[in-house]
Amino acid sequence: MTEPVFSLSGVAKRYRYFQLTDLSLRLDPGQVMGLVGPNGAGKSTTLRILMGMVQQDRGDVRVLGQSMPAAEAAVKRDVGYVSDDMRLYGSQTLAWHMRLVSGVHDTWDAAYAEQLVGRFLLHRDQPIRLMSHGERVKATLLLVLARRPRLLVLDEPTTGLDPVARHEVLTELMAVVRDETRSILFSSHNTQDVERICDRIAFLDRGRVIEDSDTAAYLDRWRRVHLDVPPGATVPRADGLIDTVQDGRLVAVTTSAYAPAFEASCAHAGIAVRDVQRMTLEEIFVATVMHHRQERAA
Amino acid sequence: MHSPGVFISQADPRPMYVQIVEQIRRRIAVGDWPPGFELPSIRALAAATRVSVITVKRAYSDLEHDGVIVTRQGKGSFVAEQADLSARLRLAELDAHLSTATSIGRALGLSDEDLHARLRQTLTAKDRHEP
Amino acid sequence: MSTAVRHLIVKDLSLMRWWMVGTIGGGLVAAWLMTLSAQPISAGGVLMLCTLIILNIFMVMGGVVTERKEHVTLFLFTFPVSRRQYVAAKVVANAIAFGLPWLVLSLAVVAAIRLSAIPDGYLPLWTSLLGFVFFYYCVLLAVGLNTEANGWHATTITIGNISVNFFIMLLFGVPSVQRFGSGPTAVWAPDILILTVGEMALGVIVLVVGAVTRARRADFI
Repeated sequence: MTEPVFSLSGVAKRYRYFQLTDLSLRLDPGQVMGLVGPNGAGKSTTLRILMGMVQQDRGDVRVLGQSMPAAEAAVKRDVGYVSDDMRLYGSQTLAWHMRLVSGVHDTWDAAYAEQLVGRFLLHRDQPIRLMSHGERVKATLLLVLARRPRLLVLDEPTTGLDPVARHEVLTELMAVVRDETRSILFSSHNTQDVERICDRIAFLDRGRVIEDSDTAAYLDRWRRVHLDVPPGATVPRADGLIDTVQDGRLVAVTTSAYAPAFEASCAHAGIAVRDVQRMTLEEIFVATVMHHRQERAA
Repeated sequence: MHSPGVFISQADPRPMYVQIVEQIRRRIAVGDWPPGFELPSIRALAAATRVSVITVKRAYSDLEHDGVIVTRQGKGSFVAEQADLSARLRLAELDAHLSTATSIGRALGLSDEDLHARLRQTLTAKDRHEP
Repeated sequence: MSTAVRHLIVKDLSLMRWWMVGTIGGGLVAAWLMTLSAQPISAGGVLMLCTLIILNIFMVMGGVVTERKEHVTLFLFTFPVSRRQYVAAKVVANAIAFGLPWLVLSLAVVAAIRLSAIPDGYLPLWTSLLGFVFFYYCVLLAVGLNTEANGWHATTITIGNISVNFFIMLLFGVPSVQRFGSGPTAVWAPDILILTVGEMALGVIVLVVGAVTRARRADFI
């Protein structure tokens, strides 16, 4: 088994109005993991614990084989972190920041940094405070990407970006994983981005991991099945049943473990299957969170 | 290395790996990618297309399973060395459309004779317009 | 010292350099004004104290508090440094940025007194007064390192500014100042020495405690 890029096991952190409970996650080299969750689910806290910025109350946190936050200084050499609330010095230029970061990190790739300035349409001599939101986000990402860190930890990197800027950013992120030793962990509200570029997804809700799987396999398991149920017939129980909505004769069944056998048992019960739909990550995400909340309330 | 962007549409209800499989098959069918042609590496195609590595991996393994490409360990993936591959893929695409048409016919309750008749009718109509 | 720590210090000093230069310039004007009067505390003396106190407030608010409030710390703390190294770099850079002008202007005050009609007997009083400004800086930096709440900063600054006045009154009540202040030579009696060394030592202790508290915080950001 390869050593994970990071692992969190049994991590807990308690705040006055919020807590992370028994958090366990890991990522293999060369993979992209998306951390998805509603506001206040604990995504940022999780990423900050990983970076050693916030210390866990309990549990083991290892990044690139070293324990956090004990080895924070050494680990941060090879890890890049950007969050949407991070700011640069407004009065200073992008070039000033590039000089600062290149002095600190010996892995700085000056040629790649210049390429990124061009691709992101940034101006080296523009003070940060005169940049638009999108330019600031791209400038911050540039400072991290040009270091070529082994692990990129990004907290909502595409929030507030226009579609073109988002496209540029995602292109550079995918360029990172051309190298199979580099990995990315990012949190996002944008389930389309996550669905598209992540090998693994983790759902977080109210401080707990409620799902952690391989993206493709996970999307493949979910279906919404539309049935035409004649009076007197009973819908057979689907595996992984999440939700059933009935409107007259028409019934929509949502399942997280679809198997063609379900259609056969419907036919057997005299029920016609009108449609079997795949679901987007967004639909699945909302269904999962609502289902877990109902279960915990019950 | 030449790495084409495969276009992934999020409005397409089919999974992304199916869209990739289809577009690669089309490139082979039209002859752009001849037998023995080296495909982009999984990671290069993922980067160029901006989709996850796992999605491209899945597409490649489907193509391999169908005998369209072969993967040599440590060397890369290549279009299968079959003389008639491109023709076979074009026919496969036609067969897929015919199969859909047949299913719709069955759902409408048409007999085999009716279907044959309609296909002949379509052919004559086509010939009249494109002599 | 690690490369990252050195860069953090150099970066802060370069951001503060114009404040340092400006303070020294303003302070030298104040020192020249001091020479125009024979009074120990004249307009020049007040300007000198104001210059140093303004530098103090700008160093702490501009160099420490604003950085954290505006989430620039989030960026800087991604550098390969530990909490201890980060806080140490911050304190060292800030102390140099304040300490250097403070030292230069203290020497300027000594020169102003020696060269002017102000009796040299007031040298111990001024030394102690400059020591108090140093103490005030240490306290404000310790507070700034540990809280981003405006209330605490405003409270500290208000108390600090007002207590400078009280401290001057207190100094004129010190027996050795009363006895030798208007004399032609500086007399370093135990009372004024203890007061000066005491306030500066206390300042250093407060600052060290403040820095250690900050570095030991579990949630650094």
